[in-house]
Amino acid sequence: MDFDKAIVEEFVSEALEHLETVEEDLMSLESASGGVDDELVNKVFRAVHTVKGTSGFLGYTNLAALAHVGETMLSLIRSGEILPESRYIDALLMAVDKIRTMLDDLDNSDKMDVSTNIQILENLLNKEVSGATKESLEADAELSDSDGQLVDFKVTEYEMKDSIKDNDYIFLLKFNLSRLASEKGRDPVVLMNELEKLGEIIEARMEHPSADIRKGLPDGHLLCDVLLATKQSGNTLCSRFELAPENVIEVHRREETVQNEKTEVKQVDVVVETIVKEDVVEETGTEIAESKRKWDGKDRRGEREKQSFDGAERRKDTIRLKLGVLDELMRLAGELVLVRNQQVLSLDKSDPITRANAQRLDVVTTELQETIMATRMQPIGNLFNKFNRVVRDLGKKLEKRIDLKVEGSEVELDNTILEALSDPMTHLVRNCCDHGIELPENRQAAGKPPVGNVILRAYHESGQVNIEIKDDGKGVDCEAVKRKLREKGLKTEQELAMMTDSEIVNLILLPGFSTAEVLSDVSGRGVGMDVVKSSIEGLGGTIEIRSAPGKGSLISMRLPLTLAIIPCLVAQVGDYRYAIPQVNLEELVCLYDDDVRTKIESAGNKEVYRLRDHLLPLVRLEEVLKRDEPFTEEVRAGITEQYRLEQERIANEHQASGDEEPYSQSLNFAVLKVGSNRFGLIVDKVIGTEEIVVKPMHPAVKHLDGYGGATVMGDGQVALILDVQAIARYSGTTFDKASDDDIKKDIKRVTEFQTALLFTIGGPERFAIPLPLIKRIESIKLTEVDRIGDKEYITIDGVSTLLLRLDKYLNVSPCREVEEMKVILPKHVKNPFGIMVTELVDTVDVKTDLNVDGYMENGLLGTSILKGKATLFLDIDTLIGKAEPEWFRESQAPVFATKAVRVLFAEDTSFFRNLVLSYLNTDGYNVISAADGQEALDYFNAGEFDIIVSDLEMPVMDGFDFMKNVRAGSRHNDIPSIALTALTDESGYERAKEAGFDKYEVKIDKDRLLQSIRETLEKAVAV
Amino acid sequence: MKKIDGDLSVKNDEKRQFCTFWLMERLYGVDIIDVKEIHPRVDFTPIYHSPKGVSGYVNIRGQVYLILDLRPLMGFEEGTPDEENRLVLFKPTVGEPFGVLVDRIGDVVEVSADELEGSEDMEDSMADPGVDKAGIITGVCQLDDTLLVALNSRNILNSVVVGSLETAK
Repeated sequence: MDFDKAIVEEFVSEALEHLETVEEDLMSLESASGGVDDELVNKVFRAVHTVKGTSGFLGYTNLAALAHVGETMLSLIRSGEILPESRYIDALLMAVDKIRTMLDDLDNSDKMDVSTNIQILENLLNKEVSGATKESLEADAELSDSDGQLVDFKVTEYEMKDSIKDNDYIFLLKFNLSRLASEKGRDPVVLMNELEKLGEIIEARMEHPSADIRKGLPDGHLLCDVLLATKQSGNTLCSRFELAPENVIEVHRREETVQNEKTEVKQVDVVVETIVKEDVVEETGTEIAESKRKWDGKDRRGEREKQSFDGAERRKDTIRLKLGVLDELMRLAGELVLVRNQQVLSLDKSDPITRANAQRLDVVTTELQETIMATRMQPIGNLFNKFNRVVRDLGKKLEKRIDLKVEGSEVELDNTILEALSDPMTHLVRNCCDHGIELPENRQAAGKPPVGNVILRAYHESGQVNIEIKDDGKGVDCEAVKRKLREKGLKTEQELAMMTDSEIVNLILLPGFSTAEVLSDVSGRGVGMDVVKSSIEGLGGTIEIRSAPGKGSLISMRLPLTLAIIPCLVAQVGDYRYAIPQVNLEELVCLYDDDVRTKIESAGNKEVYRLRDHLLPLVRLEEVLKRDEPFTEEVRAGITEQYRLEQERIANEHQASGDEEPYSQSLNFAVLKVGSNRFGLIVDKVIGTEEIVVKPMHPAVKHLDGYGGATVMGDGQVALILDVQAIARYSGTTFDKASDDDIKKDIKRVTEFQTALLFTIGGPERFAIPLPLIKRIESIKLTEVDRIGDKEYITIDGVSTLLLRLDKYLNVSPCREVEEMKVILPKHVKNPFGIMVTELVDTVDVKTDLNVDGYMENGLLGTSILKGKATLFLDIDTLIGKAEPEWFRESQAPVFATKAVRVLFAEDTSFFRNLVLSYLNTDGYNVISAADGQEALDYFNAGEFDIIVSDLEMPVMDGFDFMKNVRAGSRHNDIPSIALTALTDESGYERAKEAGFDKYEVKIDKDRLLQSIRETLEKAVAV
Repeated sequence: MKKIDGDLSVKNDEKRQFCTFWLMERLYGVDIIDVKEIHPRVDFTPIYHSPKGVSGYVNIRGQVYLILDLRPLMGFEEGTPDEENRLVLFKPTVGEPFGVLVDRIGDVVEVSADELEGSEDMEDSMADPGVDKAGIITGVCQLDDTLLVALNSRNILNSVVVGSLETAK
């Protein structure tokens, strides 16, 4: 029966709500200095009491028992018998936690063990409570009705005394739950609430305790007795609950001694009470109660009553809603907006009345949408309040004294964001307490007050919410951070030296970082800060850390107000519109007329625009959408070339037409930000900014890179929301980020086209090394160079590094020595060495087809004319082989020394052909090289080879087809083969395997390639 | 007795209603229980880079539907939409909001379950059995003048989802 489930659900959600406030209030009770806040105690008491009452009512005995003990302790605090000291609050909080666990799994709550919690509370009570109270706690009160008949109801003296204090009568109410539920539609929870408003429920019990109402109300009469202390008269109760008079029994306590006790404290009350009690029989209680209320109007009882009244009002103000209902409402409102738009379009604008109506429809619809939007917003205080407990518990555990202050609780955020913030915030607050705030003695030693502060602050700023977590602890120790970064190898000395302190502080957000000296269970597991960062960024926010050593740290986060609605720039490409989230947008640039041709330059294979002295890579959205695969170098170069030619054609045609007027055209692009990098996205048309409702992508297309969702535009068309980050990735808009050792990326850059570093050693010769092969460049002083025999070494990064002088190994002019020399440190080398040069000239973009027929020498890859001068491209591997032959000794003994191994090598780029050839030659292989797949196939069919090493992307016939042909052929079709490529993605690998390659290696990793060739050959021989 | 798989395993005397439609002059049908509505709107917002068979998004009264082009999914060439084309939109119980584009809509046809033949018996009758990897076709039924091919609406969506997962890998 749904009805019963609904009752239990309501009970749980209400009880949880109560507990929420209880936790906070308990803590403020604990921290309140000087005197106990009676109202607060009362509030807590009532909450626990309600939980107890209702759970007893619904038959959850375990829950009721625990709540009962908690209630007793609270009542003692209320009466001033005990003070809200930490140990009581601790015990109570523990009990609250337990109750919450039980509520989470109500059906099994009776199986849970509550004895420990009860024991703790009872022990405390037994120890601390005075004899008299204790007695009354244990003694059962004897009750009798007005005729002096004994009423059988188990209540302790103490409870009686406590609840009777502020009430006039005690009634025993007999309810018939089944009848109430079926005829009046009143379920037990509602009933309890009503009773609570009228007075205090001392105890409730079921007539048939065996009946389990969770399984549905039994068909027969289910009777329930409630002992209620109230100010209302019996008549009022009769009419209020539609009870027959015989079911409302006024009861008295047998012993009058308690009354006497009270006399001492509050004589007036007792007098009134006596009068009242006498008058009850005559049913004039209401009037007297009225006058009595006037009497002690200033009494706190009056205030309390007022408060409970307020409470009742408040409860009426809010209702619980399912989020799904709100979402549906939101959708309907969106639909209404569309209908409105169509309506407004189709209206006859000339009629003033229709126009006025249309305007009103417009306004109302907009307001409706905004209001519905507002329902999703929740004050951030809901989240902040959680941290009181976190900070309190942590403070205790770490023996620190920490105060939590909260500002801006009223700032509202979308519920989804609020929920997602909970975990990262908890982590940050814990970090503040654990790492930030010092121990009290350390604080005092540093001249700070012993109590540390953690401040949570939220405020609005330019349409976003800022959240700050601030502490006045010791701040982030920059030196410790640096040390850790070095230890973990996350950054090098040089990189660190170039960073400011504030940059270093933010590095604690790097994955795998933790500064805690000792790992505690609180924080410092080294996972977390990076998770915090990614979850904040996942919400479209940013996080930043600032720190002042010794003074404290400040973590600030910026978050969007809502995820469901985001401000976007709407742009058009072709016939369709696309939304670009405003958070990514920096500015819009529009170029006119001839600027379109002249201002867009090409650097390498990219189109770039010089925006205030910075080169901004440009991406054409149209081209991105057109292509199913992420851009390759070739594609990018093709696009750049295509548009350049197009512009030239336009310019030429214009010139040819002899038109004096400048021709008109324009080009729009949005400058977009991805992390700290930027690029320009070229669109056909910029439409404007709009607040859009985000709809997630359909699961069938969710995997697509490039889209963040979809939205419905004002005219009912669907527009796609772009994922700016994915577009940058897709179009290969690489930014020069110092992520070294990323071989894959380097290879991409080495292919076809590349940047080379030009330098001299003082003589007339120019040398060049491809930039991706250089790790970095160091400045050294000749005085620092150590000489060992005829070799020179210098210490870089604490490592002794061999220095190469080019004039020693190449036939070139001698090196001119200057005081400060430069050392080029190459990448991907086994032993550290550097090339000593005199002067760095420039970096230039060069085509990689080198001249190898002209001047050639071992140690060179080839020559090229750069900036009008012949330039020698160095082959770093051969050079070092010349300088330190023993470094290569192992690898120089080919496995099949008896017979030179014949390698068929296919590669279209001459640069690579020479590079790989030099590798293979040093290893003693006999290599035949081909410039494309067709050529290689011809060689293969004509000669005998032991292994094939082939590039994949080649003109005429690519590597895949080449290999397919080899495998399909009749002769030697099992020849071992290695695919050699710049493609490093999985799909390339799969395709290569499919085509018949045995192995797959990337181009410039020499050692691996050679190793791989050896392994493949060995395997082939073994077979 | 012929074995009938999937959601067709209902009692044999039970009647099922099919919402039928034409595709390349062949008659297809989906269980009418799955169908939310038929809609004439055929202008979609294309989703570039999307897998084969995805036409794009369309907004029908505030709800965004993903539209699948049934032609390529059934192994036919894609066509250009004309005014006779319709969208068959499915209920949320079938999956995330989606619909299929069909050439034109047919009648509602009532078929008793034993008139339906399981798909394994009719390999020859289909153009290319390799096309239907996802098990879109669940059975065929001889009507008076033509053959009705019964489709499983869930598997129509699944065929795209599964396909897209494969490309994502």
